[in-house]
Amino acid sequence: MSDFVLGIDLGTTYSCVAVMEQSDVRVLEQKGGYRTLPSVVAFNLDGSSMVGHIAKRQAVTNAENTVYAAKRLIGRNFSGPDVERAVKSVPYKVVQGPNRDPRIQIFKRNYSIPEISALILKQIKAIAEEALHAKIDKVVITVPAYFSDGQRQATKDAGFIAGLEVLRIVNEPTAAALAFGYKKKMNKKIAVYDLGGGTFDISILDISTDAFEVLATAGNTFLGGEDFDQRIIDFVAKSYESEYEISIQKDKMALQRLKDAAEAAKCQLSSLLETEINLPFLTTLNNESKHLRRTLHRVELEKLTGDLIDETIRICASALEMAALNVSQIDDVLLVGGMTRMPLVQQKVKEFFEKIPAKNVHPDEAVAIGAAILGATLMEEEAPVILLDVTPFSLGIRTAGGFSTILVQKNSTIPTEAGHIFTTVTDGQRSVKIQVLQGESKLATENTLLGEFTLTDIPVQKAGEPEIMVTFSIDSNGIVQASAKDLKTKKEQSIVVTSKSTLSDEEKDKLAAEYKDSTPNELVADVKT
Amino acid sequence: MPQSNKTRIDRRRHLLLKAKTTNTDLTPEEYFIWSQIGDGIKLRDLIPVCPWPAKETLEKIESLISKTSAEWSNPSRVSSSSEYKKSNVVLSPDIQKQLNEDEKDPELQDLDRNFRIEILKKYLEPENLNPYEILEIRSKVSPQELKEQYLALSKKFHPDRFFRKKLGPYKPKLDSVFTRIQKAYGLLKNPIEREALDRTMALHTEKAEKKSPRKILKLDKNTEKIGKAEHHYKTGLELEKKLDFVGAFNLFVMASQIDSKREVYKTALDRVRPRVNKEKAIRLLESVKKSLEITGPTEELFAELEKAVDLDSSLSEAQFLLARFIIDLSFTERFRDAKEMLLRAKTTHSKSADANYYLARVLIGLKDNKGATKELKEGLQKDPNHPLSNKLLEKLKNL
Ligand SMILES: Nc1ncnc2c1ncn2[C@@H]1O[C@H](COP(=O)(O)OP(=O)(O)OP(=O)(O)O)[C@@H](O)[C@H]1O
Ligand SMILES: [Mg+2]
Repeated sequence: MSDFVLGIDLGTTYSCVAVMEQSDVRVLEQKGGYRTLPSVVAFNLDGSSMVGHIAKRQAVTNAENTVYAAKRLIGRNFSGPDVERAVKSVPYKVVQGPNRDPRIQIFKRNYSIPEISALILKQIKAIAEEALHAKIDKVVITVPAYFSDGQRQATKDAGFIAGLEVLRIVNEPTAAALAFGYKKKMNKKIAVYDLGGGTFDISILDISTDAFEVLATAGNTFLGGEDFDQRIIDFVAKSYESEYEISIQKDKMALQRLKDAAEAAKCQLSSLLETEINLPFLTTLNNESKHLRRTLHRVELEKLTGDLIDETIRICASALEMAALNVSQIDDVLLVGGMTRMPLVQQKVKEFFEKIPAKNVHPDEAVAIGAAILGATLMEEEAPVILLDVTPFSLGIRTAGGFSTILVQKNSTIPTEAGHIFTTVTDGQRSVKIQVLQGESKLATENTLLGEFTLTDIPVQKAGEPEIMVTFSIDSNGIVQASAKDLKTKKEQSIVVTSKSTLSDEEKDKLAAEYKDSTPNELVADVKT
Repeated sequence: MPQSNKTRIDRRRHLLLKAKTTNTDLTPEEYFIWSQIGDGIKLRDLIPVCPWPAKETLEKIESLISKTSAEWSNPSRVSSSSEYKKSNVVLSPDIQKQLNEDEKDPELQDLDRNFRIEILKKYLEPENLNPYEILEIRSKVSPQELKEQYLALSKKFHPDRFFRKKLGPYKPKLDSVFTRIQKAYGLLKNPIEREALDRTMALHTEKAEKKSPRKILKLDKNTEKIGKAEHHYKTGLELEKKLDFVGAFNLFVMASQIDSKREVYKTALDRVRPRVNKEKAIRLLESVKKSLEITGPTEELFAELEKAVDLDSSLSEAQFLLARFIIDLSFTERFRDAKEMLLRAKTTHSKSADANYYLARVLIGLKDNKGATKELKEGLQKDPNHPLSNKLLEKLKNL
């Protein structure tokens, strides 16, 4: 196994991989010169899969069996509102899994979300191995800064299923900042504005030569290019439907074509003022084909999506406030993510931060490059840079009366830990259930339940007598762990995770074994279109 | 005999006591003395900082000498203090112990010994250091200096720095050291919190200065603290003997706040805590009962009661009241707790039918009408005229 560490930007819509070779970092290209890979997985009847460009290209004819934007579902709870929203706009079927996690049903098999991500990771690994002529097993994977514990854990699980050693889960904006400031000997405060396909993140960092300190982070894991596309789809579909009085919402193939066209139009409007959406034979009515053909003007797009951009600006303001800085103290603004190519995004960011965004940042590649840099530095004898990243949510526990008691404030530097003493309420009670929460609300039910931990084998004592110190730690990946110690006997107390919406260890092992020998599809050989 | 002790001390007053590194287990008292010695201390300076009578102190010193091969020497004979330091790096027994264990672990040889010592020193620092002390910085530093110091310490102690190394027992230690550093900085970098801290710190030193004019003796901060903690502890023990548990508790808390790693303080705390909790619980209960007459059951009173039960789970009157609260305020999700508590209350108030009556109401709430009827009948056997029970039984029959 080589010492290469891949930096992988596992995006909602596109993924990118980079590596550091003798202090030079580069993006690894696929055959045909592609530098990013569509995060799309398609399945054939025999259970085999395709990943990337081929999968994306066949989506129109195979919409129900083509999975895209799986990152919007990863690590979430099936019954949450976000899953409901995501499921509405995708052609594939989503059902509830055994751990209250969403699963994708294709040809009667239920795929967990980490499995889908694992297939993308395996493809990326194959691309990298071919480009580097070396075997690879170590990776750093990026996630949106605003990802919760469950989403991070599920991403890590994806790496495990793909047979990869995940050295670190790192925040996308932090990685972009690393790509921007590594070895530049700068002392700057910067803002990283990352608007991708699925998520929005803003992080404020203070770079002091080789130390990258995140001062604050904020975001929305459900605000990205996909939502811009959806606005176009709804708008165009509505006028089409009122013209012909037919619904295309139920026609999966038509919808998929419209989705592709909407995204293409959106991208074109970044450089053109007007574009045409042309979809001949989109549907048939009474044996007569109906075509969709209309122009879309940049101003129309801006009207349709302006509020989404305004929302990102509001989040920027709150991040600045949390960092206790004002706009004039920010030296540089970095634009990351494909959506920042949209002129209105650039304009609003410029207006808000009162400065022109930095030019030397590649919106599609900076994140993967930063991840590759981090991976390489971790492998050195003594890491030459330090990342002082933060946790985006407060960590709390449920206490009597249904309240949440916060143990770690949001925007605390990680790794960190905090303790709380638990006791029993009835005589001879042998176990105590602890609900761990993530979020800012005072009410337990309004926060995300990370999981339930159960203290077991508590020595038989009167109610209130045991004193068990539970230490909650958030590691450098932003993942929460709990350990417990009986303060009286000084013994480690066992703690069992009883409910978490991530995969069980057994299922993970099983899947890892299953996918071990599956080979990724042929590396794309045709030419970039 | 006091006379002879005095002369012994007098004779050696000016001699210098030097300690050597040690592997043996010391008693807490010996450890205390040992920690005072540092690079060498004159006996006349050592006696006053020890909390025991001079005679006892002397005995303890003797025993320490026998265990650690500390030795007396004439200060004039010590050639130069810097030379002394070089030949004898004094490490606390805790550090020495860990280093000895490390020898057995070949993987740890990867980690520089001096660095291990640094981690241990930082790890073993008393827990009550103020943020400035944790960051090893003056309290007057500018925000920029503060940040630089934080980054310097982070570079030294950030767990990522040793990502590839096997850290063994040092991993959790390093994590906790880093957490401390980072929390201290988190507080100080916030100007509002820092100012508040400065204010309380100024208040403390003012008070201290007023009370006792500065000791002539110059001790390092740590040593002074250990002495103070020991003093609080001893006074606490005396109060405990006089059954003043609250007073004792407070002193033990103070002692363990100064030196949180000393087991004896914790044991003492654990010993008196239940007694103190009992007293607190009774006081809480009394105050709740008083307010209850004025306001009737409210959520605040409920919380107070809950606290009382938390503090002393054997206080059955509080449990009984709490259960009634749960019923009266109809906290349905707590009905199971109420049932538990009432079952217990029933055994302690075996003569009254009240517990049966309320238990019946909980059971109805839990949809167990049969059980409720049984409870009511049992209660009515104790007190056939219990009006509430009679009414409820009537109602149940009609259902
Ligand atoms: N020229 C362009 N103009 C407007 N939008 C564009 C342009 N190019 C790409 N995009 C949009 O950017 C989004 C993809 O961005 P990116 O690849 O950074 O996201 P991602 O990394 O897949 O998602 P995320 O970071 O949210 O997980 C898509 O919605 C795409 O349509
Ligand atoms: Mg991205």
